[in-house]
Amino acid sequence: MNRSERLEIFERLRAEYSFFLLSVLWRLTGDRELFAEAMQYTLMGMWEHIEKLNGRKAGAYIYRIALSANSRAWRNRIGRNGEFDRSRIDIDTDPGEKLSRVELTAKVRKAISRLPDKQGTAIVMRCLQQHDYETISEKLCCSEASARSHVSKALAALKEKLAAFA
Amino acid sequence: MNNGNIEEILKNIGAEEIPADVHEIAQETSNNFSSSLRQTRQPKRHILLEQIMKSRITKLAAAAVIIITCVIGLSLWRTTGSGIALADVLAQIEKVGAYRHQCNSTLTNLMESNTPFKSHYTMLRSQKYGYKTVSDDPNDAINYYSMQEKAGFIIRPKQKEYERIDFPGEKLTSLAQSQHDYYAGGIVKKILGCKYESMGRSIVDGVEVEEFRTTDPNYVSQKKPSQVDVRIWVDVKTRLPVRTEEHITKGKTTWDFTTNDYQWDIPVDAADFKPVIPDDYTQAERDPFYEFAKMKDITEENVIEGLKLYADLSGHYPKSVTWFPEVQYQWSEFEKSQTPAALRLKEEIKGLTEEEKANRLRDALMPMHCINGFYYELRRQKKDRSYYGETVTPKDADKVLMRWKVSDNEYRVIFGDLHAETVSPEKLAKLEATLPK
Repeated sequence: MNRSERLEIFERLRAEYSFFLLSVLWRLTGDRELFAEAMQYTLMGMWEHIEKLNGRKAGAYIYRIALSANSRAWRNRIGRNGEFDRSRIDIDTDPGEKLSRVELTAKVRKAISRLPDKQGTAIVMRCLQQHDYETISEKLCCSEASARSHVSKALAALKEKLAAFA
Repeated sequence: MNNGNIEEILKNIGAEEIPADVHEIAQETSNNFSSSLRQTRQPKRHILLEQIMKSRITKLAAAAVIIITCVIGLSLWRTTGSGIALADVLAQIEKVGAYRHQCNSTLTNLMESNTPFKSHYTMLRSQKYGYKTVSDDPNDAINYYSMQEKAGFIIRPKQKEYERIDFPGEKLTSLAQSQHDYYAGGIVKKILGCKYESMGRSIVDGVEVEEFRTTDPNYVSQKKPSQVDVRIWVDVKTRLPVRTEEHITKGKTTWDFTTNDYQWDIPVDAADFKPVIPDDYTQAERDPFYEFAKMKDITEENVIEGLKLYADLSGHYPKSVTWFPEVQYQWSEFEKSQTPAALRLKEEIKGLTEEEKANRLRDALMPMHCINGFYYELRRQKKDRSYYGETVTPKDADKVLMRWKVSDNEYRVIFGDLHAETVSPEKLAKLEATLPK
C-alpha cells in the first residue's frame, strides 16, 4: 500500500471515528492533558497499523488502539509514581464527599487503563457506552457468553483494584 | 466497594457531557497529526522517545512531548530581511548525514517537590545508523537506536541492566529519521509554522549568525502555553543551526531546552551506534506497551509459530481456534502441563509478583494471539477454512491441521507437524478423508 493510499484510509477513518475517539477517550481520561496525549497515541497507532484498519475489523482494531493509547497516557504521567495526583482534581471540587467521589472516579478510570485489552474493551462498550452484548461480541470476535464473561471479569478486577476504597 | 458502586461510577462516567473545549482539543490534536502526516515523509514518532528513555533525560523528553507538538506551517519559503530563508536552513539540515550536539535541559514543575530536573547530554545522530544519547551523569541511562539491530537499547549503569526494544520493519528507520531532525530540523519546522522574525546578525561561538525568534503560542499545539520564547541562531555561511533555545511555560511547568556545540556532517560508522553492554548487566523486563508496538502481523508463519508454542506448552494443539482467552486465563490451560516448555515457563514466573507474572506470561504467550485473528480473517474473506485441532496432534505429520482456500483450484494446508503445503482440492479431499472421525 503506497503512502497516498495510506493517507486516504487514515483520513476516512479519522473522520468516521472522530466522535467515537472523542467520546471514549474523554470518558476514559477525564483530564484534558491526558486526553490530548491519549488522542495523539491513538492517531499514531492508527497510522502505524493503517493496513490492518482497511476492512471490517477496523472498529475492533481502533478500539484496541484507543484503549492501549489510554493505558499508555496514564502510564506516562510524569512523576506520579502510580499515585493519584490531587492536582488533577478540578479546583472547584468541594472537600469531603465530593472529593472522594471525584477521586474514586479517577481511580476507576486509571484501573480501567490497566485492564487487559479485551476486558477493557468489554467494560467500556458495556458500561460506558451501553452497548448490548451482541455488539460487544461482534467487536471482540467472540461469543456473547465470552463477552459477558469479559465484562464480569473486568468488574471483578476493578472491584479488586478498588477494594481499598470500600 | 461492590459491583453496584463500580457500575454506578461507570454509568456516571458514561453519562458525562463532553466539555466544549475538549471537542476543540480533539479537533486540534487530530488536525495537527493529520497535517504532520501530509507535511513530512514519515509520521512524527517523537512520543515513542519517552517510552524508551527512562532516565532523567528521558523524563524531560517525555515532558517535552506533552508540551511540544509540531505545528507545521504551509508557507515554508519565507525570507527575512537579511535574505536567509528558514526553509533553506531546513533543507540544509536534511542533507546532513550525521551530526553531534550538546543538550541542556531543565524542567521545573511547581507541583512537583523534586523538580527542577536538570540534565546535560550529548546527542549523536546519523541518518544511516541511528542515534544515541550519553549523559554527563554516569548513572544516567545511555540510549541507542541501532538501525543495524533494528532495535532501541537503554543501558542503565546504576541498575546494571539493559533493555532492548525491537522494532520490526521500517519503524526504526522512521523513528530515527524523526529524531534526526527533531531538535534541529524539528525546531525549524515549528518556527516556520509560526509568526517569527529575524533578530539580525551577531557572533555566537565565534561564528557569524542570524537569529530568528518566535513567541507565537502556536509553536506548541494542544492546550496553549502561557509563554513561548524560541530562538535559533543560524550560521550565515553554512545555513545550519549553531544554537537553539526553547523556553516554554505551561501552567506551573516550565521547560528550558538549549542545544549548542553542533558538529555537522561528521564521519561516523556503525560501531559508534553499536550498544556496549557489559557482561555483568542483565536484561530488564520490557515495557508491556511494546507488545502492542511489536504486535505480530497475522501471517501463516506467525500462526505456525503460535501453534508450535501451544503444542510445546500443552503437548497438543488448541481444540478450537475461534477464540483465545486473555493471557492469565489462557495460562491456566498450561499450569498443570508437564512439558519441558511449560515447566521452564513455570520456573521463570515462580516468585514473581502478580504484575510481573502477568507481563511475563503476556510476553511468552503473545505468538498464540495471531492464531484466532488469522482464522477469523479467513472466515471474513470466505476462504473456506477448517481446523482439526480436536483430533490432529503434533505426531500426525501428514494429517490436515488447518486449511483454507487460496484460489479456485488451490488450498493451503498446515499439517500436524506444522509444515505447510499448497494442494489441489482433489488432494485435500483425499487428505481429509483420512482424518480421525
